Amino acid sequence: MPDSENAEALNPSWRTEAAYFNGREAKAYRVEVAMAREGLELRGEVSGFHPKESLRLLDRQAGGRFRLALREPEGAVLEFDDAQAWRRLRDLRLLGGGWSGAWSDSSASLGTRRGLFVLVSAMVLFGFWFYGFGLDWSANTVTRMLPRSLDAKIGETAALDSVMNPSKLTEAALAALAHSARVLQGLDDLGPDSIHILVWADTDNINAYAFPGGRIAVTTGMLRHLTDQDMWFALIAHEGGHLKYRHGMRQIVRASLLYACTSLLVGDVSGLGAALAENGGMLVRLHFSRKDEMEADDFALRKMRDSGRGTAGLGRLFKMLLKEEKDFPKWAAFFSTHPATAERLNRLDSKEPAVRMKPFLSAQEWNALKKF
Amino acid sequence: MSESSGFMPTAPDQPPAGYSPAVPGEAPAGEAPGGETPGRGTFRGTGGELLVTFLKNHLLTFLTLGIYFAWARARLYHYFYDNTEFAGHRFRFTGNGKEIFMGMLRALGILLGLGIALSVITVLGSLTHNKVISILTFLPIPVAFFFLVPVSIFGAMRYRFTRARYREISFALDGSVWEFAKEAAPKMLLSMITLGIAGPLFTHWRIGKIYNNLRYGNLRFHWDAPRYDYWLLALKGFFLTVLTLGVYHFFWYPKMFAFVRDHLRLEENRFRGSLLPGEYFRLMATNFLLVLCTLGVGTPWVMVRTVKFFIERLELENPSKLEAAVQNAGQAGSAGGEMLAQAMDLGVGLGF
Ligand SMILES: [Zn+2]
Repeated sequence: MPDSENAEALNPSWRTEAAYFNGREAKAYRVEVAMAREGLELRGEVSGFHPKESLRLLDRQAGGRFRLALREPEGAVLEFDDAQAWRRLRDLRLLGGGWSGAWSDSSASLGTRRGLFVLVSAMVLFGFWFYGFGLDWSANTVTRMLPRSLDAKIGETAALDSVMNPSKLTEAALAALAHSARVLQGLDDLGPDSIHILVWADTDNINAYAFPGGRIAVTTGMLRHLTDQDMWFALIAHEGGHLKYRHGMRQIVRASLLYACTSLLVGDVSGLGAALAENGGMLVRLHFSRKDEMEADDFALRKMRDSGRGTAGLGRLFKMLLKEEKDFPKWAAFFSTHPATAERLNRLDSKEPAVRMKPFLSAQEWNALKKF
Repeated sequence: MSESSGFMPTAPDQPPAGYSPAVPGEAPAGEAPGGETPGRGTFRGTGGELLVTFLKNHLLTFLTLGIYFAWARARLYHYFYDNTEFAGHRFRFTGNGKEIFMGMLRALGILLGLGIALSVITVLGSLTHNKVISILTFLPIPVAFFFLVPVSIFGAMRYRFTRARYREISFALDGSVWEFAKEAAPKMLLSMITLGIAGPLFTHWRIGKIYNNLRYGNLRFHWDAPRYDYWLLALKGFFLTVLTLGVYHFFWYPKMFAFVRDHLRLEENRFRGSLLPGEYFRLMATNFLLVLCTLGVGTPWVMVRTVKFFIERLELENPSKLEAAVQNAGQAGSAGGEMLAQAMDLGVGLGF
């Protein structure tokens, strides 16, 4: 504050005009208000002194319009329209104790305001907890309660637009996919009755996705970049992990819960049904969480070791992905479904002894797969 | 977060202050009654402030899982009431978040209780495997609806008026909510049966019922618009608007506004003002462009200029007479109806 204004604030002869309402009549009484450190002095149609503890700010607007509530008489209000008066009021700290913000209730005591503050803070904390932790917990619980048979139904609605028509696939390619699916099925109880591996006609993206209910889709771009059968095994075993732990289903439940909560909060429940109905389409845009990916990786590693082929295939898969991620940023789509490849690569034990590769498809089948 | 229905006062749920009959102001001292300049109003708020209020409200409501909704609503009412000025003095909203929150709980309780009761009745009815009984058990649902709607309308109006102060004198809405609902239900039914043809009669009754029970302190409002004139005007407006593909709306709306306004008075002092089709069209066209070009971000500005537009077109003759208003015994009025109306997504306003 410049000195001159400060001096003005202290000038005892300074006065401003205000309208005084007594709360019983609509009549506006004209008063002159003098402000001092101790409070306000009114003169004119109404007079009296109001100590600063008895003043409360009701509201304030641009241009120096503000209103003060007086304690005595009850319901009395002073209405100002003077920017200088506002500055002086502030400089003299006349609202020091009485400042309660423009929005608070005239009868709210400090105690209830503190109570509200605690309540609101608690709700905020709960909101964060729910988003960070409670949501996943609820999604897990709800998913566990849902029958496995629902997975296939949901998975069916998934928009698999660009999946290649089986009629366009060669006999050998179909045999390779069916054979791979059988091998995967034999590894563990993955939940679904039958597993189908489908091919997405998409050479630009290197991606794979496990839909609830047992459908695994792989892009032609991915198939082209596989250099050996161990990589292929690693890939399908990883997707098998997603099926085993019902990650896809959990993501849908999680997204639906989040959607339901926000809809309720924002007050728009109408969109909820529609969103739930089309969650098949939503699926493709969903991605598994970091935790889900690690879980699926661990599943793949276990199965690779169990089948005696070592874990190098998964390492090569990650390295290939890392290289392609770097070279072709347009494959950003992959990051959305499989984040942090480098981190996942680092988790692999590089000291694990190398084991000989173990092809499980015939040469003819493998070549057919690679030809996509 | 989406800018969805419940939250923002959308068109019909406009800022209450704007549509509440603006109240008298003070006259230049010493002028003789009768020869006075009419009292005029304006709106002091800005779109920027409103945008900030919206953002804060949405954020806090989201973070508190909806609990803050009540306080957000209070904040919004503060914004609209406190910025409405008439004849040199501003209105003031005296409600608060806590009471709106209690109203919210009450409304939820009523809806939940009613929902459960009605479902139990229909389920019990279907268990009898008797077609007639099963169908009869559905009957309470529309009946409840026909009562709940007017109860919420009246409750919401009463809440807003009792929390509005001008020159530190409160408004009040007399009459009983049940009586209002009892009279409203058959009229709503009639307008439904006639496929809306009788609808304006219900609106006419509703506006009259509210205004004729409205007080500013001890001063009474009166609304004496002839029923069939109102009905004809409304129907003509509707059909010509449809026939002219909407063009007639811009001629009709100012007429309707003037019709409602010109039949309103506060004690013996009439409301007046002018609203020309051209300026109304300009307002609507620019509002539309503003929302469109800013992809919705301009909505707060649109609301502010719309409120300002209407408030500035409402004048009251002999504003000095209103200095005589004296505070009557306060009216409690809870926010239950307000929140019930909110929950049912009713646009409550004194529109027409
Ligand atoms: Zn994965």
